[in-house]
Amino acid sequence: MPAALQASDVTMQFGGLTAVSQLNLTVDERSIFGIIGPNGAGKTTVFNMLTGVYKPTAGRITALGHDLRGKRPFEVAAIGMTRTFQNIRLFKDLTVLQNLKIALDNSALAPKTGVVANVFRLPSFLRNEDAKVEKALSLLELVGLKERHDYAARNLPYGDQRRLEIARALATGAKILLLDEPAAGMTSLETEQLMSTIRTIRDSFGVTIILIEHDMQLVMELCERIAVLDYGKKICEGPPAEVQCDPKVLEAYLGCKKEG
Amino acid sequence: MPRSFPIIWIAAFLVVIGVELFIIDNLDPYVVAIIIYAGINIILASSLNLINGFAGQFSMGHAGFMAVGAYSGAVVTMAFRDNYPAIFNEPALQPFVFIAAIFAGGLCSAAAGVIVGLPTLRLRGDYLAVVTLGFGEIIRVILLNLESVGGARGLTNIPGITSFFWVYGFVLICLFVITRLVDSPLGRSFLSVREDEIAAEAVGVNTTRSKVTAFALGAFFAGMAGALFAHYLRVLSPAIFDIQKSFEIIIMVVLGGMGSISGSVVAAVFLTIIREALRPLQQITGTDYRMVIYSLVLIVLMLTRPRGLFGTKEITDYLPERWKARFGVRRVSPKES
Amino acid sequence: MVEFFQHIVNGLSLGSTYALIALGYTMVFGVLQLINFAHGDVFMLGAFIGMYTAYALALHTSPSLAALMITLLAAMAGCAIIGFLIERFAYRPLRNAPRINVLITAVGVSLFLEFSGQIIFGADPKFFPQVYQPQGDWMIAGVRLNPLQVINFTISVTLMLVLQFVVFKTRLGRALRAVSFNHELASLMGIPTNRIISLTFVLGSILAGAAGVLVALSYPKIDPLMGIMPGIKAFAAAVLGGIGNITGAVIGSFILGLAEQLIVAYGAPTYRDALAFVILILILLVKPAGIMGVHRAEKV
Repeated sequence: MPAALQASDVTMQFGGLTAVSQLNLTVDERSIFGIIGPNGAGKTTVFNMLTGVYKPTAGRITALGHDLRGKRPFEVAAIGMTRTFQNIRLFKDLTVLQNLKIALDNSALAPKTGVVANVFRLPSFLRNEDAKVEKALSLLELVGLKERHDYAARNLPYGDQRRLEIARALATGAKILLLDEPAAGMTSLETEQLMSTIRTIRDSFGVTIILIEHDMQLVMELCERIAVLDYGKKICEGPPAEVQCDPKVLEAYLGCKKEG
Repeated sequence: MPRSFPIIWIAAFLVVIGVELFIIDNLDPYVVAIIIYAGINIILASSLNLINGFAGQFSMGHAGFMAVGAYSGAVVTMAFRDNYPAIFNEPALQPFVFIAAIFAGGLCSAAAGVIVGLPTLRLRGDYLAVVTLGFGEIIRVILLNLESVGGARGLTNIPGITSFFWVYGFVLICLFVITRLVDSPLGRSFLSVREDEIAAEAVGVNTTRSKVTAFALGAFFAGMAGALFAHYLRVLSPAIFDIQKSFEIIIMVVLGGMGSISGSVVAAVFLTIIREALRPLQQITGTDYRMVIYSLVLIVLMLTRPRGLFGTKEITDYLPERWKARFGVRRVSPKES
Repeated sequence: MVEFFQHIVNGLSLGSTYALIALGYTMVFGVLQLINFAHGDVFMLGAFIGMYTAYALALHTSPSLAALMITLLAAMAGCAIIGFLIERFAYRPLRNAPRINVLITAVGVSLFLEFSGQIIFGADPKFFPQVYQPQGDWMIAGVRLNPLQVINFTISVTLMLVLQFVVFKTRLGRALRAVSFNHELASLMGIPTNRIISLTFVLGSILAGAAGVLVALSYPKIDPLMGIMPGIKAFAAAVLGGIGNITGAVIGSFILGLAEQLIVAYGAPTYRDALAFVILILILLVKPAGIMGVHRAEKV
């Protein structure tokens, strides 16, 4: 299977602090890939580099056949990689539908119309807008938010906000989805639903998924491969069963060497 | 009738023509002056709202854009009058010269808007506010030093072409374009920048382009308002476009609600009338209470109703559903939970 | 060369005035991340309080250093109260409001002070009484020193040193620095955050009040809008030095004072008022943290 995303020797330094050091990652197309590690291990920094929020100090990242060097976040999104945020970043005062429409406006999923057509509301503009609404509603149905499409995003319960953020990311037409702690703050029932949603997204949209998560049950059940980060370094990578038994991982999490 | 047919706008335009032909000449010239200033203020407030309310970039230099438009528009008509009097004095051609001048004012101002908008790439919030204020002042100081437009003495003898028809014709054009842009991909990109710039970038919005476009568009209409103003007042001086003028426009936007075009329109009209209503008081007491009242409005508003009169809602949000359908209102406001 | 030193002396004198105002901006920004637009108007009120005190006590009939001190103290005390009231009634209710609302309120307070000033004091310039009239200029190596400039400079620097002492050597100052570092943490440590914020406004206003009297002494025409330009310029100076940083504000002010003086002397005097804005814009674009500050990036 070809790689959807490849990071080679990626390093991020802030002043004297090395947040991520010589990281190598290869994520297969249509796979679900987990990144785990203790707090402060540099997981979110990895996402920030992958999406162009930070410029890596060294190293090279390619995604879907594009070199990401010097690309800004919106350009990375245009290539087909987008993300959600650890501390949910929705367009809070806008409706659920508008949140998705903004993503669709910039997505290959919907055609674009010129300013003249938009101002004079020519038929092409109206057709286009209808198509966006339809597309948005179908994505909302996927995450179970169709009925709440006219709510202000800020008024949604926490779990719904996380789901909306995933739907919005999908609406960009992303082929790689980076989820930063998608299950944080969810009940176990909600987490179950989320896991099936993530699988559906991968299976029916053919999307590659990379996720950061602290919920080990989710990670172990969902991910096909897992990379473990500690102090900015990848200490281990492999299928869940392998990672679970790795002594280095236990040490990183428990802070001591396993006896024997 | 197709959904896209702008019936309301055409009706409004006919009303403007009707008023110009049959009503305006019967009104007291003083009342006409107030109506015209209200129109100019509507353009100023709604264009600033595009920047401050929709794109969320708090700009405090709108008087600077108005000044650029006023001076460049005036220079265009005066150049025509002095160099091509035959064209200028031909009644059938003069309107075209005037329209060209208004657009020239808008375009020069839009260029200034791009320059002022560039710092938004690195600055936000309070810092940006102060920098735009600074740009507004720099524009004023430059005008003060430009002897070709009269320097501190100002520009005089500008042809007085602006009439009710012109002002409200352009008010309609401005509102038409703004309300429709707001409900289009461009306008939504403004909103996304206001709501959360980092998230906007993440879903593919080129926030740089959005912010600069917002400034350019806002400045464009402010420039038009300035040009209309110049051809009404017939004299310009840099002192007109000081910080106070910028603050006046901000007060209109804040009072109406940042993010509500109807709010800006209502607030612009209301404050223009209030200003005139206070004039007798000023004549009796010899002091100007207007700014004291404006500033109190601003403070009390922030303490009690920070979202302004309309918040981000539009008048059309209050229409019954079937009216909305009939008039092609597409806007959906968030449901309150 | 002598002429050049003359400009340097004038620039330092101007800079010391900006510094007194800039300190208030920078301290308030330090604790609240707020540009207190009304600060320049507190400076204006200082001048007017000084004027009324001088007339009420007939200080101008017997000009002396003591008369100046009384005027100065009255202005400082008056401005302390005004600064307290502004914070208490305009800014404190908005402590948890979006920053833009606080900014708008600050603009409102500024306009209110300016225009109610016009109603109370009258819009025409007033003449500030000569409470201190030193005779003759002092000459040092051909450079003319106006005693007023010297007094002005000495008082400014003294006040800055006092402030430096308060902020860095007292318990109060330590609390102030803690609040400016992090509100929540400071209040968890038992620091009365609101009282410290009040104190910050009071300290800043005292300095602005002093600046008002000192400026009025040298340029005795005062009017209710006189605070706008020095206010914004002092803010520019604070940003130049690194907003939130006390030493930076002083350095930035002296740089701005010197630059203005030199542009008036050798460049384009009519562009003097634009200089502060140009500096402000350039510094914000090139090094937003200023000379002494540390830039804090937004966490993603």
